[in-house]
Amino acid sequence: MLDYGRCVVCQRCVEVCPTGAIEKTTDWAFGVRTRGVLHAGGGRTGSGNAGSPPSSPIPRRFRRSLHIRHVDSGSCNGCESELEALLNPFYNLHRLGIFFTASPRSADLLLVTGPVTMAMKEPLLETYRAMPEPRFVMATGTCATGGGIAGGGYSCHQGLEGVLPVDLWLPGCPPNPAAIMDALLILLGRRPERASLPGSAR
Amino acid sequence: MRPCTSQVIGARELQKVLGELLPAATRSDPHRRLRMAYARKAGETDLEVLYYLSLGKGCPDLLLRVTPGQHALPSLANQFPALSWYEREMHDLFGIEFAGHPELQPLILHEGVTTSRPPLIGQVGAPIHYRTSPPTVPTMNATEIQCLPFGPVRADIVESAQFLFYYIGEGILHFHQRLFYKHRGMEQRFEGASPMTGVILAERVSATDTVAHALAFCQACEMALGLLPPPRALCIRAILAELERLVNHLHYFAELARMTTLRVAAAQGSWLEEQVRQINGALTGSRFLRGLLGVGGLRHDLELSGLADRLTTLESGVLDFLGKLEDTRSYLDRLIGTGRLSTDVAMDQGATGPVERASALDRDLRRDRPYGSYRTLRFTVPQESSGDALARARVRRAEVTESLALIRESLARLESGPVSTVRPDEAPDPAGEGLGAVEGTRGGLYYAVHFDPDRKRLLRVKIKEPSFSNWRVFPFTVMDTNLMDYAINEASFGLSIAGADR
Repeated sequence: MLDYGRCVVCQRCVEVCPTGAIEKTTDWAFGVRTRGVLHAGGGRTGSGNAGSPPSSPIPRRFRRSLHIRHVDSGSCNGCESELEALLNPFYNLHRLGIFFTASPRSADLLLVTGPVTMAMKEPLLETYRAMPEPRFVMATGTCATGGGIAGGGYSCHQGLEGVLPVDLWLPGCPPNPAAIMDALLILLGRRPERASLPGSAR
Repeated sequence: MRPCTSQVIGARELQKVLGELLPAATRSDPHRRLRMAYARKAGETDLEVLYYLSLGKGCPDLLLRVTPGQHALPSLANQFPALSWYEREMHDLFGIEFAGHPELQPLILHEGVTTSRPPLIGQVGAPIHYRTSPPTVPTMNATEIQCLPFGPVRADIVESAQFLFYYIGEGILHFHQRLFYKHRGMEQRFEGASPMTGVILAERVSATDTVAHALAFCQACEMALGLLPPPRALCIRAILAELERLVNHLHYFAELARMTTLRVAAAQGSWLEEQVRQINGALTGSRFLRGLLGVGGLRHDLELSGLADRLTTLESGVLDFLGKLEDTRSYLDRLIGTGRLSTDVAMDQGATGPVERASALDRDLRRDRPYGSYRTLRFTVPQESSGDALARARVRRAEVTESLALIRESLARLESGPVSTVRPDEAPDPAGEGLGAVEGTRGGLYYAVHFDPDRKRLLRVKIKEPSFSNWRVFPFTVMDTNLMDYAINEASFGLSIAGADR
C-alpha cells in the first residue's frame, strides 16, 4: 500500500520501480476530506484518523468569505513560500473572497504547515483554542499531513494526526499555489473533491 | 578531507593552538576565520569535536580535531564570539560542557526541555520532552520599561520564532530572539541514510535554499567517495544555483517594498519572483528546483534551450523594477542608516553572505574556495561598506545582475555529454569523510559528512547554515534602534528560520 499522505515527491519510486508501474505525472497535489483516501493500492484504511468519517461540509455562509490564520509548525519554508505566492498578482487569492488574518479571533480556518515540532505544539493548540466556533483545520503539505521527512524524529510529531481534528488534508512537497487554492475551494464546497488514487479506500 | 588538512590536538592545547592560528592581530583579514565547529560520536562512548578554520586566501583550510575528556572542553566563546552558538548547540545536542562559557543557557532545545540522553548521542528518535518555560532574559525592574513579546505565532504568513522587545517609547533597550521553535532534528534524519536519501533530505532543510543545500551535500559526499561529476552536470548545477539566487533576491526586494509600504512595487516584485518560479517549474518540474541534483552529478539531464530567451524577456522587467526602487525617496529614506552593522561586529560575530559583504567584508566562497564550474566562470563580487539596510539591498541588487550574467555564460558554455559519474575519478577520502562548501543566496553553507566504513551509509551530517550565522549577528543591529525600523531591518537581512533551526 502506498500512502500519498507521506509522499515528498522525491521521484525515487519512479526511478526504482522494477516493473515501471509508477509513472511521473504533471498532476497537482489534491486535497481530500478523509485521510484514508490518500492510501492507494491496499483498498483499506490506515491508522489514526484514516478510518474516521469525512469531515462535515463547511456551512454555506463561509463560501465567499473565509478568513485564514496560518501557523507554521516547523516547515522547511516551502509551504510558506507557496502560500505567500497566493497573494501575488498572478494568483491574487483575495478575488475569491479568501483572506489571511493575523488574529485567530477573527479566523475561520487554521491552516497548518510543518510536521508539528515539540516546541510548536502548544502555540499551535493555543491558536486553535483562541478561534471562535465553528472553526476548521487544513493540513497543508506532506509534513502536516503525514509527518514528511522530519516526522517522528526526536523533535517532531507526525503532522496533525492525533494533534487536531482536520477538515482537509493537502499533501505535496510543497503543494503549488494552484493546488492550495483548489484545496481551499474544495473545503468551501465550491469545487468537487477529485481524489482518484487507484484502489483508494473511498 | 581535501582541500583541507586535518590535525588532531589535545583538549588542553586547544586554546593555545587556536589563539596562534587566529591571532587577534589578523582580525582584519576576512579570510582568516573560524568557519564552524561541530561534534560527532567517535566510537561507543567517545566524542570528537571538530573546528573548521579558514587560514587565509589561497591557504588550504584546517580541521582541528579534539577529543573532549569527560565530555568537557574549555569554552573559546570569549575569544571568538562567533563560536558561542556552536558551543551552545553542542551543549544541547551532545551534552558537552564548555567551561567558562559566558552564556551557556539553552539554545536549540529551549528552557524546560528534558531528555533521557542528549538527542544526538541518545537512541535515534527517542523524543525530547517539551515543557513550556520562559526564556532566559535579563531582569528588568524599571516600571518605565515595557516588554512586547512577539510570536512564536506572528502576523501574516511567516515562519515561527519569538522576539521580545524591551522598550521605552520607540527606543529598543534590549532585544531577545528565541529561535529553534522549528528545530526538526534534521541532522539526525541523515544518520543511517544512503547518499541518495541524503540528497532528498538536504533539499528539504530549507526550501528556498534547495539547490544550495543539495549542492553542498553532494560536494561533501563526492569528496568522501572520490567522485568527480562530468562537466555538463557541473555547468547545470551552477545554472540552477544562480536561478535560486535570482528568485530569492527578487523575493527579498518584494519584501523590502512591502515593508516600506510600496504596494505597486511589492506587487511588481512578487510578480517577477513568480515568473522565475514558473520558469523553474517549467524547466525542472519543481518550482523549487528539487529532484535534480544527485551525488556524482545530476539525477537526469535537462533541456535548457528556451531558458536564455525567457530570462532575456524577464531581465528588462527586473532591471526596471530595481532601478525604480532606488529612485524612490521614501524607500531610500527608510533604508539609509537602518540596522547598521559595523565591519568589526560582522567579523567577530561571524556574519556571512550579502550581510557581511555590505559591511565591507569581501568574501564569497564561489571565488575564494571555487567549486564546480565557478572555477572557470568570471564574475565580480559586489561589496558595500556602509553596513546599513541600503548597503545590504545594493549588494543583492548587483548580485541579481551577476547571476543573470552567470546563467547566460554557463548556457553558452554548456556542452553535451553525460550528467552523472559512472565510476570514481579520484581517490576517495581514506576516512570516508567529506566537506562541501557553497555560497548560497544567504551566504556560506557547509555540509560535513562522515560515512560508515563501507561508505554506504551516513553516520553523521553537520549542516552549517548561513542563516544560523546571520541570526547570531542580527540582534547587534536591533539594540538601541527604534521599533519602527525593526521590520525593515529584519527584511534587509533576508534570513531563513527553517535553515537556522534545522
